[in-house]
Amino acid sequence: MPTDRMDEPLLAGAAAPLEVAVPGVEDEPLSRPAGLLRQGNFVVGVVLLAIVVIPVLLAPVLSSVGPDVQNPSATFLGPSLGHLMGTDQYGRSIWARVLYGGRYTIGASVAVVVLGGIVGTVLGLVAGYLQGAVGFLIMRVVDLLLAFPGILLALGVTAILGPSLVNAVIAVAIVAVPLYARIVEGAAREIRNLPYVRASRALGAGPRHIIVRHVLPGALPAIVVQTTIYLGIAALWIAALGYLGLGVQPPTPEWGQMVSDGQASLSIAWWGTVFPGAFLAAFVVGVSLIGDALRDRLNPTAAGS
Amino acid sequence: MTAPAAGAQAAGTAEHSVLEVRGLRTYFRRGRGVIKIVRGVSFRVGRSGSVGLVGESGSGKSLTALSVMGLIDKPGFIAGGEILLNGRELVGMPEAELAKIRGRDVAMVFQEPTAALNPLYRIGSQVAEAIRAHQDVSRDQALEQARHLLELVGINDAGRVLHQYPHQLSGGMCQRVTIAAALANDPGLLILDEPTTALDTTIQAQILDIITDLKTRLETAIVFVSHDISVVAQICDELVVMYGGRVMENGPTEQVIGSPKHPYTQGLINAAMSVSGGTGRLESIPGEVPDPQRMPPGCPFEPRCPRAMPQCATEPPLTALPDGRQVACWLY
Amino acid sequence: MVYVGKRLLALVVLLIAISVLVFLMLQAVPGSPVTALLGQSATNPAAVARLTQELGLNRPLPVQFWRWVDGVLHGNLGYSYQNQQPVSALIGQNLPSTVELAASGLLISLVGGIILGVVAAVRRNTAVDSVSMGIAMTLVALPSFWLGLILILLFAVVLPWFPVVGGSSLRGLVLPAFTLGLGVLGITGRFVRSSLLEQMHSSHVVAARAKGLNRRTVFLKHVARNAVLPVLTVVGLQIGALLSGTVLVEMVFSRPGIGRLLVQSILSKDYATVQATVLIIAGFYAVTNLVVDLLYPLLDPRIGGT
Repeated sequence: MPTDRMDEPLLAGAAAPLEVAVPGVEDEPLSRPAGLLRQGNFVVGVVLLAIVVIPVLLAPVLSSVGPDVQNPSATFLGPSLGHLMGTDQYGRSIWARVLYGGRYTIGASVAVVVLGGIVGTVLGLVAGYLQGAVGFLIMRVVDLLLAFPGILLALGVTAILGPSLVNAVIAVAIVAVPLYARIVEGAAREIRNLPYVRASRALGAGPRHIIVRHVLPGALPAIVVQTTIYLGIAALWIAALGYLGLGVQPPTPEWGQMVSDGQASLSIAWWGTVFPGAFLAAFVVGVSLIGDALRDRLNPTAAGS
Repeated sequence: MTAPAAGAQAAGTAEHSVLEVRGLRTYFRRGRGVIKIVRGVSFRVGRSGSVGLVGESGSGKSLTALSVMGLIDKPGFIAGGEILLNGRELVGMPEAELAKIRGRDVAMVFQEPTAALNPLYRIGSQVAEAIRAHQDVSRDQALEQARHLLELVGINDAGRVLHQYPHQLSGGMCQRVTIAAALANDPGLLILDEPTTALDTTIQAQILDIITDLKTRLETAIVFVSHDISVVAQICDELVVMYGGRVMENGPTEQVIGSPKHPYTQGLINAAMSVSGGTGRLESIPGEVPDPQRMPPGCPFEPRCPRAMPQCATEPPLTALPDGRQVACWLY
Repeated sequence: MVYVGKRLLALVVLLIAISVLVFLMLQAVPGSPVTALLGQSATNPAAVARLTQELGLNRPLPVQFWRWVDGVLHGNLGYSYQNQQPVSALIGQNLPSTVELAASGLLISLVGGIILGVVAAVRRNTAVDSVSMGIAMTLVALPSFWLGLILILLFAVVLPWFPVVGGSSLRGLVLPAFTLGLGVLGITGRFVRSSLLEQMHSSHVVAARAKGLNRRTVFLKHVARNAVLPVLTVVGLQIGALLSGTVLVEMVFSRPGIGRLLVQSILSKDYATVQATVLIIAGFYAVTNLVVDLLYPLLDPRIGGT
């Protein structure tokens, strides 16, 4: 990266848009085959993700006690060698609860993305390929769902269904559906008009064949990028619902719910709040970085780099 | 117009030149190396002269023009050479002083007329801006001058156009506006970088007429950059043919077109003539413009030259010919 | 004019659709709407009968819907049995606090985001740029409730500068506002940066420099001014994130407001209030989007058919 300055770094790049057909003289070096591994943000993202996910997966191995084991004589102990992340008001090991809790938070997020992703993709494919009245109707419903900002829709759904982890997953998945639908619809709409697809249609190929063979593969990069980005958002919202008491019910550990638990004793036992949240943050940052790196690779024209 | 017999290029009349470029080298930093785009370009523009910089894309002609304007920014930089505008050295001049010169002593017209105008401001405001950058006049006075300038470039409805936005005007009109803005402070030198390339042929002709007209009337010196040798030949008294970041040939237009010496120039002219309906067969120069990162040593044209010789592995210097022209070729 | 008309029409249609959906929410609750609304008092047959009559639950659905909408338009948002107050009163009490919080959050996110984006754009491809964008991304990824608690930990417990529980004072506003604003600031920062970079590279900026304008003028008149438009889009999106964020922030800081009202009513199964707050928030969001849409033609002569 050039770090030298000329007089006016303020208006750099004046020569760029004009005649110069200089190969590859851009700001961000891209598109070399093994490029992904070289991208800083990808590497950092994977590392962060590994730091979080691996311990979670290895919870039984890494934690000598279960997340529900209470120990009245060891309440509110600070982080130490014996208790890496201290204990909570019931003497339960925060370390164990963070590791096991991660399974709920991350697991729920994955479920959200899978559920919402599949439904949203199907809707998007149908709407994007068929267009017409069906497409119009689907996209208006999508617009309607998107009219509810952020977590509002999920809150509404939880209000109807009642608090539980399953309902939280459903609620957040419902929010994910329109996001996927919109992206897939856009991709499908473009692809269906490509010359080779039109040729295929003219030759009489059926919609199912075209969608599976042409549209879906074409939309795949966008879906993948959206998934990595949304995975992080889903985790945040699952945890948020957990924090509000609308998701997992105690004593089941879940990162958001643990933060809420720890809040009452924040001033005397900060570890109950800080650790679960830190793990959540690390997970989200890791996934976002990977998503960014993937987007740069698969979609270099997208904004925000 | 009277073409000086030997052109200003070969004669060493520096004091009378509006612009003198000597050995200009403009590079781009990339990674840990540099890409050399302009590799030693020299030419002169006399007062009221008109010089055409001709070459295919990638020849470095636009970058040369930008270098003269001092608009080369990171990762590009001027690596060497001299640029003398009215005797003043521009290379290494601090930005604040360059800003005083731009628009006043030298002005530029760009390739994409609509893109060169800010879509959010009215025409009048943008032309007035050029005026007030160097003249201490009120906004109303500037707008009045702007109106005259628009009429000067052949916009009849100047009063109305002043209040319009760029997206409401055609490409040709926008280009007239940018020319008007460039002439706002009566610069001694006007640089035009492919001003007609992005326009329709009929509009092209109109704009070229305007430029010719202004050239005669205002006696402004002109540097006209283009890949189209037939266009440049119409406007300019002298031609500088560029390839691979270097000058291949230069001299008075009549001589360069009439009896081109450099094989590249010959190729360009053949191609141009075949397009305008000469032999019925479209001629082109075989091969491709070289990648600046993989420039052959020696003469840059050697890979495509029909008359390449073993000598061409070393770079031929720009030699003067008896009739006052200059060619960079071992044939001479 | 057509532009404005179309947008207004779209807004009306959207509001109608939102209200239909919100109305159906109540119908979707397990059990009948009456028991849902009455909650605890559902065992009282007199109350049940009276409410059934009031809501016209004997009538077909569209009629019920119309009666409800009619009520809303006249300020009758239902009655909260849990709180023994009309819902409209509840909302009236809580709205100002939320507006205060959201506005300060927006201010912080805009100021912070712009500074971050400008710094990163001006020093692009340097360490400053990477760090700025790193900060931006991290802020977005932090769970807002956790961020709030960290701020409380640092600035109310460890350093007792601010009250732990958000009071109604200005001081009590600081931590919540920052929690809200910081969460949204990252996106704004990234957008400002990319928008500025796009402008800096554009032909009209080069042309402006060619006129001999000094760099400050070029930056303000040609780079910044043109970069505002895309940023406006982002601000529109931010408002959604801010509205949704107030829910969590108000809960973290025990601050009165619409967000906290919503959560509490969900937990206490006060469906009348849930319905009304969802409607209000979604409606408000739709209106602000329209306002943003209407600002476009004012800023860009190419839009809106000048």
